[in-house]
Amino acid sequence: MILGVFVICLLNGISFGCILFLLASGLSLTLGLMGILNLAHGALYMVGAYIGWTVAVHLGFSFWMAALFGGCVSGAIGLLMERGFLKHLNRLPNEQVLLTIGFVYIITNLCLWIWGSIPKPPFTAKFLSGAFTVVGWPYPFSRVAIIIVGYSVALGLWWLQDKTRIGAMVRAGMDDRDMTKGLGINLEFIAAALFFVGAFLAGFAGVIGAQLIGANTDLGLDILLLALIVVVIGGMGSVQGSLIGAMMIGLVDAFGKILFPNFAMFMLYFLMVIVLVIKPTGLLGRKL
Amino acid sequence: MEKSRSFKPFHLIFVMVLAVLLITCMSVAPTLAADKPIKIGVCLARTGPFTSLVAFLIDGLKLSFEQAGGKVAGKQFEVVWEDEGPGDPAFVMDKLRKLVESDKVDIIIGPFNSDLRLPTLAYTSKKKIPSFAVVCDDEGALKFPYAYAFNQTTFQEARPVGWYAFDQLKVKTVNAIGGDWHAGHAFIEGFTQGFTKERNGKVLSQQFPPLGTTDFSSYIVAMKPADAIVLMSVPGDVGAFLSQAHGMGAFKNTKVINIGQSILPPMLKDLGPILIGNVWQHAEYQPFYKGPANKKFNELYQAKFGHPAGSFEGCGYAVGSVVLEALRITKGDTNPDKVHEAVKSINMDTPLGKLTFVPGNADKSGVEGILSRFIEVIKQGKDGYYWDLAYEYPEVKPAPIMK
Repeated sequence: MILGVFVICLLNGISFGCILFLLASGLSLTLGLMGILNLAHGALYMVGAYIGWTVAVHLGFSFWMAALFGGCVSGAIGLLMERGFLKHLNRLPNEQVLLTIGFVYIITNLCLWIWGSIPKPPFTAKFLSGAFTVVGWPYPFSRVAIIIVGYSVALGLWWLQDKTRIGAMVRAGMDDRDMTKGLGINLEFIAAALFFVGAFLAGFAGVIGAQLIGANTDLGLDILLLALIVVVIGGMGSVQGSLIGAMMIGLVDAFGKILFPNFAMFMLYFLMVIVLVIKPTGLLGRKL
Repeated sequence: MEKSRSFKPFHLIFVMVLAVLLITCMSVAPTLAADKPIKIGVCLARTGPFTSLVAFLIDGLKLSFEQAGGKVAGKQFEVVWEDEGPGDPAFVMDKLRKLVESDKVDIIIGPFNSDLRLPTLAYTSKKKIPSFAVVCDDEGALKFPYAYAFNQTTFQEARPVGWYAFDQLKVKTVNAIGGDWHAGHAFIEGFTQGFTKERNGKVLSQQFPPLGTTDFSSYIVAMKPADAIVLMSVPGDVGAFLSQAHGMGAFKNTKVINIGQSILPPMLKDLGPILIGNVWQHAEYQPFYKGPANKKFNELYQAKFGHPAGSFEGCGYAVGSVVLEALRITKGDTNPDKVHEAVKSINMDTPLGKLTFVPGNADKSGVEGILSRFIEVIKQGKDGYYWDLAYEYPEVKPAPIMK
């Protein structure tokens, strides 16, 4: 019984951590590599969840098409935000915070207007709707799919950031903008593309996460809080850091609710404080 | 020689004109006061976790005001709307002060969130502004004068759910899980009294996840083997919990009893297939209840919105009707003491059943309603899944809280 509870909590922590990773990795990339603090990232997650529900449940297309479409719509909104507003606020964090918080309210109200106030319950692909038995407990296939998708995206992002020429250009641009521009690299294009990727990941995470959470208009701020904690713990601009931070939060959340139910939320902040005291830049973050 | 003071005709005319003006003003003043419209302030959630529920409530409330045609007891009334916000007491107090001190409202309806209602009642009762809860109120609210829990308190309302679970569903043991806010705790406490102290059931575990919890899996794993799960939270959380619990096999041989009507009718389209036959829900309002006021309300609602009313629409319509009935009894007089006496004398049929009032359980300052409580069950019809009336407890009276 105790082993069963432990294993189920471990798997639940990892699967929830994977959703947080998908969300936080985009936030971490735009913050760490572009210096843009996008507080509307949670709202883009919410848009992805709603779009995914529309495509998969309302229109009846496949779940994976919904995930792709949700990511693309959020990516397009993110691109508009970056090209229209945020590119003019380079290295102005206060203005970025005010602007993106404004976007949270605009996007949330648009969602309320389009999809109404009734929350959309969780949904998944038909072939993922069953469960299998793990040490005597039924465990849903959808959570396993979340883990597989989460780690696959982590691997892809790590490869893109650390092993490709594009990743090298992005890192170079962050370290020395003028020098990178002097070498003939189009930083404007790279910044826009990177913001699209970050926003795409938020929308994609929204659809993948909708298998557990569904879609509702409070997600924009609820989920952002957890993503920010992940980025603070893992460190800005690091895919590996986001993954480690997300796993830590997922596991502390899962076990904390069982072992210390009255302090579960407090434990997440406590973990964040400990990491900040020991390593203010986060576990694998770039130096400030 | 002293010059005698003579009362010249000019002075006489001047005094007469003054007297006429004075008398005219004295007679006009009450007329102006009488012409002043009655102001009803409504402070309900337009933002935050309760938005989805309150949107329906507002539909019902607006319908009751529209039916009155903007007049009560021959006097005009105006409605001033404000947002109670996402749950910040300072925010809602600003809105209340604006309603009372700037808009000069005579009566307040709301706020919805029980965490916000208590702090606002301290202010409105001090200002002698009658304040009506829109759904069930907190027990603590009834300590305040001019507070009206027409729809009972969360604690009292949940007691019959405990009776139903034990008597009708033959449930002997439950795991209780409630949202971690004032009403979440109070509903679970009320259920526990009805189920364990007024009957012989056992509550094996109580858990209170914060509002906005995204992953309920740990709470599901921590539940003990029992006949039923008793659930109480906001729609988004309830939807996620039910879906996750179903995925983890938690419904196998386990009934689910939801308190708080948070499985809204439109949610049944997606959740109906996994919930039918296994889930019951308590309701303050039930569309299939056969009362004359409910029949009228259903016809009006259907005509305006094109679909049957749900629980929150019924509550919204009922609170509007109660406020207007109190004003009819006072003949439009908004004196708070007269409104108070009027509310206590109300004996009317509402969509929620026959309604009368008794002094509240707390210290008899506030006033609490006696009315029907309903249990509903999911059915499948030709248009999809819907909540049907399963049981009615008529004219449920408040009981003392057993320690």
